[in-house]
Amino acid sequence: MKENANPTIYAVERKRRDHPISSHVETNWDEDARDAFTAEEVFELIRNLNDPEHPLTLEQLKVATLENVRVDDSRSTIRIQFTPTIPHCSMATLIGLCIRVKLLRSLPQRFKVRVEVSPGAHASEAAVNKQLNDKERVAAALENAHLLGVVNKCLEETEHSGVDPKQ
Amino acid sequence: MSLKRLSVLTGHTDRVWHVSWSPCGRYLASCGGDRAIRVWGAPTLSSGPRTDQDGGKDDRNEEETGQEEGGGTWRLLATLGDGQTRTVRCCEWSPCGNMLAAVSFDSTCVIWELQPSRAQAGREMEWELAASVEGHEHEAKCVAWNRGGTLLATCSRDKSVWIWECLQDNDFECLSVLHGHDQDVKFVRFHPREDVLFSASYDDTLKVWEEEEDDWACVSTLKGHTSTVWGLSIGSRDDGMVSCSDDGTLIVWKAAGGAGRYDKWRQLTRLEAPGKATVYSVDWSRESGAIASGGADDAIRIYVEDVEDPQGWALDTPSFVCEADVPGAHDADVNCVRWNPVRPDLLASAGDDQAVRIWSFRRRGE
Repeated sequence: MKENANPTIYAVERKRRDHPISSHVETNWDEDARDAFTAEEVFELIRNLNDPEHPLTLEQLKVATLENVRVDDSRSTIRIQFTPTIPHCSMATLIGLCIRVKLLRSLPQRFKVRVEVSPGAHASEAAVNKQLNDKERVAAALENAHLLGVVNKCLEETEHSGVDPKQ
Repeated sequence: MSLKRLSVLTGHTDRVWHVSWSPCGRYLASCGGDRAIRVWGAPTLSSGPRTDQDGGKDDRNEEETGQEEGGGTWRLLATLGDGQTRTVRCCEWSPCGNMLAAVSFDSTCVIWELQPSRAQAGREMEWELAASVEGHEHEAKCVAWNRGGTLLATCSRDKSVWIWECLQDNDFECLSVLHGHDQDVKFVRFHPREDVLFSASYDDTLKVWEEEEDDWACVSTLKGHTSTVWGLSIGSRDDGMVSCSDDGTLIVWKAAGGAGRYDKWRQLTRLEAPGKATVYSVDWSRESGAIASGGADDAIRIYVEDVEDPQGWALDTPSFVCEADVPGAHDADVNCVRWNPVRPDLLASAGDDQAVRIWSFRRRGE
């Protein structure tokens, strides 16, 4: 049974952005020439992640919003806060893991990413945050075939989107 | 800069979690996300000492050797790739130098044994899988030998620490299963001179374990860090320890009863790097007294006790000076730093950038 059977669904902006992340090519031969990333671009990566429980995106559920994506390109840091639809959501860690994996696969290695639940949005906020930002736990989780399958399912939509800028 | 990069050892195809020097200081083992252990031979061993002017690189196996940066050519002597089915999180040489113990996210601990016939050549090394030690329910995270090579300790996400006795013919018998930590145990290490075990945990504490009446028991719990404790090292002082944490600090501890009494600890000082990035690894050289640390800010830092304050340790007020601060030591997180046990100036590091690096440290004024 789903924990939150009737989540609020929000309308989303349909328009695709002009600069999908795939246009970023970081080159090694010139260290000065590095592409700057913006919050919009990073949000573009995660907005179409599927919710683990519903056939809806994180953006449609307002689990992820542009306002909660902070990018400091000069310091190569990214901080993302997400808001589970209910405060006892047992899927919170999984959602955070999906966001982390998506960014891990899409962004240059230089970025230090912190993923956490929005302050006050979850009953076990500190525990969820600690787990999501322990890279050893994340690495081990991703070697668990079952869990990786679930994560990949949530990422499916995003793998197809954002690739073709003309769409 | 007093920390100079000598060599880069490339060959791993995923993040490198850990490095370990052989007791003789001539070999380095590294392991990581590619599920393999690589054993590297130091330059003087395999190709004789070289100077910067030589410039001649060994073109054999170019992709899997260390690039020269004045450090000579390191050679890959062995790749142990089929022992474990997931990340090899940690590997440690036995004190005799003939065995490597390795723990994996597949929850096993395996023992590799060096085959002596080929080892003398100093080139390729032949290793055989001698034992698989199983007991943990979840990912094993760290392994440690005691000073005599008679005991092995392993720890895991299952919150337990196991102590194994190393019997003849590569037989390992579980002596004790230690419960006490509330969360994953990240790191274990024996005292270099005594059979006292130290553990560090996701529960933000360190614990000290000693044998009491045929079983091992926790004699002390050290609280001070405000997040996961990732590692620890006993230093050049037998009554001193340093720990590193996700809270971005190193804490220097002292056994309140002096060396030999490990049931009470005092927190002496806290070393904090700018930015408060997670510190994943710390190593306090027994030979030089220098403390090396590496972490999530990609930097390596070296701290030494202030020579202007020789009474500091005795008075419980030691001061440490940051002698080297190398931002961008790796192109990603630094997961492990280890001093060479024989050449106190040599440091090895492992990173998320899939590289192992070798460094030379000189104190200012030397």
